[in-house]
Amino acid sequence: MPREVAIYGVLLPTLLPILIGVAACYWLLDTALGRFGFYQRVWHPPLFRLSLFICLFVGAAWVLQQ
Amino acid sequence: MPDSNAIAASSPAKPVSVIAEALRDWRALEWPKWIFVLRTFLAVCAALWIAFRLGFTSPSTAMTTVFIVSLPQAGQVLAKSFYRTIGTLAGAAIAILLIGNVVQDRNLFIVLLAAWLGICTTGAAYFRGFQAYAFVLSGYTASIIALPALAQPQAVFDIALFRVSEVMLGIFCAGVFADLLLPNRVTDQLIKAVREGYASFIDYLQQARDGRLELAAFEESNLAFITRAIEFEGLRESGYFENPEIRVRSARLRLYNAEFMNVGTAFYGFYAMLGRRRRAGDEAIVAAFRALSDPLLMALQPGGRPPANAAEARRVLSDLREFRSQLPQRLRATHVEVDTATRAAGKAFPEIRFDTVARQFDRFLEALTRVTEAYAALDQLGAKLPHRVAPFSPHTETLGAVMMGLRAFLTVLLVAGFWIVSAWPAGASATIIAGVICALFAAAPKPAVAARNLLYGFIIAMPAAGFLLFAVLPHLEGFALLCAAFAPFAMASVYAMATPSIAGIGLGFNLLFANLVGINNVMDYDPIGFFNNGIAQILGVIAGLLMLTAVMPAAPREFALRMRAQLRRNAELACRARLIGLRARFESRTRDSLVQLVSRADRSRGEHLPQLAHALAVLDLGDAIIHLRRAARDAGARFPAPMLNALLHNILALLHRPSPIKRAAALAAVEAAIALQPDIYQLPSVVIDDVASDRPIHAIDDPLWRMATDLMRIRGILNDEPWFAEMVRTLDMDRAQIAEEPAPEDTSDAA
Repeated sequence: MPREVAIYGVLLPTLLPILIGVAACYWLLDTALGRFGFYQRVWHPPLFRLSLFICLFVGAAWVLQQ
Repeated sequence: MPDSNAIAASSPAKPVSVIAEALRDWRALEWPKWIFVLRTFLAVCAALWIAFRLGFTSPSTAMTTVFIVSLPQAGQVLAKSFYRTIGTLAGAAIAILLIGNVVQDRNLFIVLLAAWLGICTTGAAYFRGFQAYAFVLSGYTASIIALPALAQPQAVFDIALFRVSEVMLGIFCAGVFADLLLPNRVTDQLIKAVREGYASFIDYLQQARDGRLELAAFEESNLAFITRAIEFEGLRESGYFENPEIRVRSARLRLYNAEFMNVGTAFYGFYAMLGRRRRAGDEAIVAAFRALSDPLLMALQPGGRPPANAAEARRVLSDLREFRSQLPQRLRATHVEVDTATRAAGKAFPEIRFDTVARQFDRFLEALTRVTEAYAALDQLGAKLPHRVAPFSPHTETLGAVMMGLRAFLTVLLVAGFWIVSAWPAGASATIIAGVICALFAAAPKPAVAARNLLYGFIIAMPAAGFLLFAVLPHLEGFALLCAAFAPFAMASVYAMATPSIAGIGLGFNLLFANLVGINNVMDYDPIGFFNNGIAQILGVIAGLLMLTAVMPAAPREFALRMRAQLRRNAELACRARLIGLRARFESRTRDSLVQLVSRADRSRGEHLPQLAHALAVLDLGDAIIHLRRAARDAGARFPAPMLNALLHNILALLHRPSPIKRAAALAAVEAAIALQPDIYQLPSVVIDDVASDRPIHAIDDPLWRMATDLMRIRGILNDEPWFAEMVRTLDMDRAQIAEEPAPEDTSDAA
């Protein structure tokens, strides 16, 4: 994976578009989990949510790197 | 106050229990503050460390961000972070646009930047809560990126990128620590607010029933309910970011809040009407409806207490619906009592007045049912919303917000003009800060006080930063020692931020302190730059403060006049606008007006109470007019349009400038309309007669009867001496203030 991508001639870190995409997916997933009461079964919801986000972000970056 | 009671109860106490008491107090008041201090400090250290590792150009921006978004509750931090991100991105985009297009023409550039700050200030003044903050930030970020880039336009993109990255880093650290380290959750407070709001309303009804509600207490309670609704909206906004379970209930919480405000005004209408009947000597009617409120309060408090959660609210809801459907039967019982009581007193029985009060009571019951429905729907995510209302959006009035925007525009132009003319090296900092002051405190109830607190913080920060920078830091080596050196300053100021009376001073200290120390990988010890920058920023605050106090200060008189104009427009809406959907529109405008009135009010001087009473009185009349117009529409030719128009015209004239003559004219128009169908007013009570067909009151669709009760209601309001006194009192207040400061306009009325 290149470190930077050019968008309209502007160099941006490649992680930035990945971050934005993952954040959108995470938001949907998070809302769905909240809607169906999943977080009531979790020991520490904020920790779970943070970990979920990190897993998604790192996972997406790792997969796209391949 | 439970705390003081607890202390008073144990006053002749053993030493041990005194210590235990003190410890408990400390645990309740100080412990959360120290947790907050620790959490914020750790977040600052984490942000600094990461910024150093990533080699950011100014780690102090990340540090400042942590200070700024650090609020006591996790949800507040996340909400403020979200809006800070939006504001930063928008500001960065504008800065790049400005530099990219008009960098050649410095004057045009300054004017455009000032205009952008003005627009942002208008937005910041118009919206409330964290949305306002996004506007402040986008104005601030644009100037903080664009002004330094004016000298080196090709670097603008790098400056913007670093600024955004540093802000995001600060947000990330603050958010993680706030949400994970001994968090203080908005969610808990929000759940408590739902329950307590409903319970306190029932308690208020109970007080009204017991006759314990004096007029002043009645006004105070109205104020308290509106304040509660505004705070509730803030909690909902923060909870939205803190907890997905709140997020999926957001629409429901909004509905609940809007209905909560509506039930307050509906009860006002009913209670004011009962007061008028009492003053008119219809004690029998008052007693009859008071007797009805006992079974109602029983239904609202099953087992002697108000519902504690949505499931219990559902039970109350079914009781409430049953009560409402049985209202005619219940009224029949009380009707007999009223009848005998009035006939025993040798008076004619006021059938139509009885119906008028009954209809108003039924409307209050409707509002009560709706708020209970909204409460009960909170834990039923699968079901559809029980009904819809216009969203409750607290904001300031438009004209005031635009004027604040103009003031910010002017401030930036003046300071920047001085900077350019005097070739002041640190003028850019002063310009930025002066603009920020105007935007940040635009919507504050007391902008000058807030700005002054910030100024004190700045003044204390300068020597402190100088001491740290030139006496301490040169002797230190390594990140741990750096954090240790920061600790006393950061902790003291964050502690101040957590103490409401000096929160502004703490924030001001942090802003300038982080900026002046300008911590970096390679430190730059530049005493001349330090003094130039520090003095420029303090002068910038002073310039902003002067503009806040000198140009269009937050004058209660102008505000009162604008509010009156707005109330008049609301009444005009009720009189003139198309009837379709008018009641919902009128309700939402009503909420807006009340919220604006309450949120801008200067509580300490008690001026808001007559204004609030005036607003409620005008809105009560407006509600009556909408009902009358609907009835008149259904009555068709039996209520001629010219007569209705004359009536509305006279009422509007009265609201425009209350005077005894206009009041007499309006009353004459009402009497003329009443004289049109004299028989109706002699008929036996429709509500009572209708029991046979088992129709609930709101389903009685005889337009002439509806018209008659509405006319009676309007006549009652217009005849009401306290109501009229309220109208004239606010007018007199305005007149007195106009007389104090000689103004060109003369409001002396011909009457």
